[in-house]
Amino acid sequence: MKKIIIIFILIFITGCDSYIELNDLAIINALGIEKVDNTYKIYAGTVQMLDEESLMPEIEVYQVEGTSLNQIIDNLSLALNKKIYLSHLDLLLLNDSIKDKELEEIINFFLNNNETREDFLVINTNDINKTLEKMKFQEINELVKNNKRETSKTIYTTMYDVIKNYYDKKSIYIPAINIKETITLNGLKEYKNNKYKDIKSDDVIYINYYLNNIDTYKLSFSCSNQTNKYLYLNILKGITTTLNKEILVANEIKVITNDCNYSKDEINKIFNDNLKNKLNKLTKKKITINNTIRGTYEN
Amino acid sequence: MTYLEKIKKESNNADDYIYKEIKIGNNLINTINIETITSSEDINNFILKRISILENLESDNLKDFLLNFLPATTTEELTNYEKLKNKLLNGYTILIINNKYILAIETRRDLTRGVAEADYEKSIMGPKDAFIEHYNTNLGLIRRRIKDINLHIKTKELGVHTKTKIGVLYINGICKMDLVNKIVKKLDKINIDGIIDNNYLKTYLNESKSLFPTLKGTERPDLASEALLEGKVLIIADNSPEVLIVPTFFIDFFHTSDDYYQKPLNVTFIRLIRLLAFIIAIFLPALYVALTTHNPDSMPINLLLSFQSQRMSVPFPAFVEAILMIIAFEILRESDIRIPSSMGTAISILGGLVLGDAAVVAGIVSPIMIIVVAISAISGLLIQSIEAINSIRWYRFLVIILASIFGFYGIFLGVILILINLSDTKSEDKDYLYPFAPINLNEQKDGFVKVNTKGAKLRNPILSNNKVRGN
Repeated sequence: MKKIIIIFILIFITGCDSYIELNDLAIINALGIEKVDNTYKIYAGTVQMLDEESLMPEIEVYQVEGTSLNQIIDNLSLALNKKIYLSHLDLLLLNDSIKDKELEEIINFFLNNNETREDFLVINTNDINKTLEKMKFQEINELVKNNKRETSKTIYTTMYDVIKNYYDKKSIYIPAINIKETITLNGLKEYKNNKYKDIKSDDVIYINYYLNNIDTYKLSFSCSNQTNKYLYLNILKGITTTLNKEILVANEIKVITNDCNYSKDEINKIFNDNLKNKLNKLTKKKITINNTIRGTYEN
Repeated sequence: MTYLEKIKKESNNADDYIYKEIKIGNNLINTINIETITSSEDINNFILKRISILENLESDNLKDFLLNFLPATTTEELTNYEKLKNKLLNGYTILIINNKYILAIETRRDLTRGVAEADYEKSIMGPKDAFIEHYNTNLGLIRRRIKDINLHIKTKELGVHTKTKIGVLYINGICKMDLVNKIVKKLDKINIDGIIDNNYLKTYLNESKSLFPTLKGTERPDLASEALLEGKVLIIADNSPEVLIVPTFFIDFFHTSDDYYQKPLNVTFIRLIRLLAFIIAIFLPALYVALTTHNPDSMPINLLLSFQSQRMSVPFPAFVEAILMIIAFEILRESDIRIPSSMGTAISILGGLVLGDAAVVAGIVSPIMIIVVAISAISGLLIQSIEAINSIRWYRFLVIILASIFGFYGIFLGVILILINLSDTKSEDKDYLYPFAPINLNEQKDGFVKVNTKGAKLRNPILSNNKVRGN
């Protein structure tokens, strides 16, 4: 009898109201939020299969307005006649209209919604609606991921990073997208003290150094004594260790082209000077750099 | 009333009871046999021909002569009517000399089939012979493998009307005697009309309430002999093509005789596949129900969309769909077992192709549900014991119900319930989950992992006091 009572308690205190059939779900894959005249405008990108034969999912963007995010989601649910399902949210698009108060409300919305995760990508775009219409959400995700991996010229910022940096009162770096004929990555937006600041793609590399978030990237230097000749380096790996008063950076560098016939020490110096120069703009700590250089150079 | 009259009265003058009266001098010999279970040829050659050449002998001398000189393997003198009945019904020919002496001579007709190939415990590399419905043949098949004088048998006759011969086999010196005595005691307590098959005994020997079988029947003499060498006890019943192995552990259902004839590495792999199949058989439909009704967030989005599109035209909830498909499979399986094999192909086509495809086209079930139930059902068939397969069926239903109410949490509840049930189960007072709970590291060498026979030098300590193999 005791066993049965324990089993019943176990069962009934846990709740069992999460039952939902798949076809009653409106799967929101991307969400765009902007604020215009004290009103939130939300762009919800849903993915769905139109029929059993379709091989590719159809994407539809719904636009809803309201004064609070929860109210908008409820309205969206009524409009679609389905349960709004945010667990597979892949992308959150924001623009410069989202500042302190709005950002806090967005963070609270996601923290209080137990069905959402915080591992989706957050990006900044000048035109949310056009971005959602132009490109599939997964493609945007891949674009940021690939750029980060191959060039280190962007940061893959998730909602978790946004929340963490917001509460730590640190800069929030959000990858920026520029939409014209095609979608291109346009550096970062740095959000700090209720302001957005543009960071160019080339400078993102050094922010990644500062955050110990470097993958791989390529760098070229013009030869000091020859025109149209370059030193071309591939930085395979970069590791940053931040101490109290010092930043240690270790790089694995491969020399791809050495038209200038620089020696190993010269290459080391050129690279270090450049890196120190850039990092000094981000931190006042002492910077020590150690490089392992492979490839073609004069001994 | 004479013996003859008593038999005629009790048998209600049955047609197949043959009575003969032979006079030798002053002596009257009445012979009785049951035509349907005795060999007429043996009776003619070894009894009637011998008797007919006898000269006048005294009654006592005649009895002694018949007892000693009839060329039958078993000739016994009986002292009472009950024994007479028993022997008569066991295929003996009864000779009543002057209504004073009773002799029983074995003239049993061979009503059994010959030793055939194993039917449901197939083996690729091992021996092919299997037990049949004949007690002595089955015993012989084991004796042929274990030529040890310490192979002891305790025999009983059970069943008020069937008087079925039951043998309890063990190897003296390997098997623990308290296990044998316990089994014999349990058998002694059985009081029923009849034991038609070994499986009748399971109800009486099995004290566990678990759905998992705690007794394993085998049709393979090699597997039975292996069990004897482990220190287990075998129960043979006449008219039963299966031998019971006592005790049986959970892990035994993942072992086959082939495991001992192949390379240990391959055996380990296939045993792990069996374990995986066992888990799939129980949990896959429940996992599908949980994913589609409570936890779609645990699926990649492409799979989620695929499931969504497949379920678009299905009018039933996933739970009902799963139950419908499982019941449909169970009906197909049962019909496949019951109908003659000549119609099996027709059922396969009807069930597999027509019902499956038509059900999808009609929008009653989704294709993915057919895949899920089919994989689950096929996985369940990897275990050779029909009772283990049946127990999987119940656990599958239980976990599906839990998953449909609680999602993944329900599946975890199901896992816990199954583990509690398995841990609570005993087979002849031995822990069913042995050697995993309680753990015995040495026995892991023949658990889900198999090491070379040379490496497994020790016997199972809960089955045998004779710890080292080869002693």
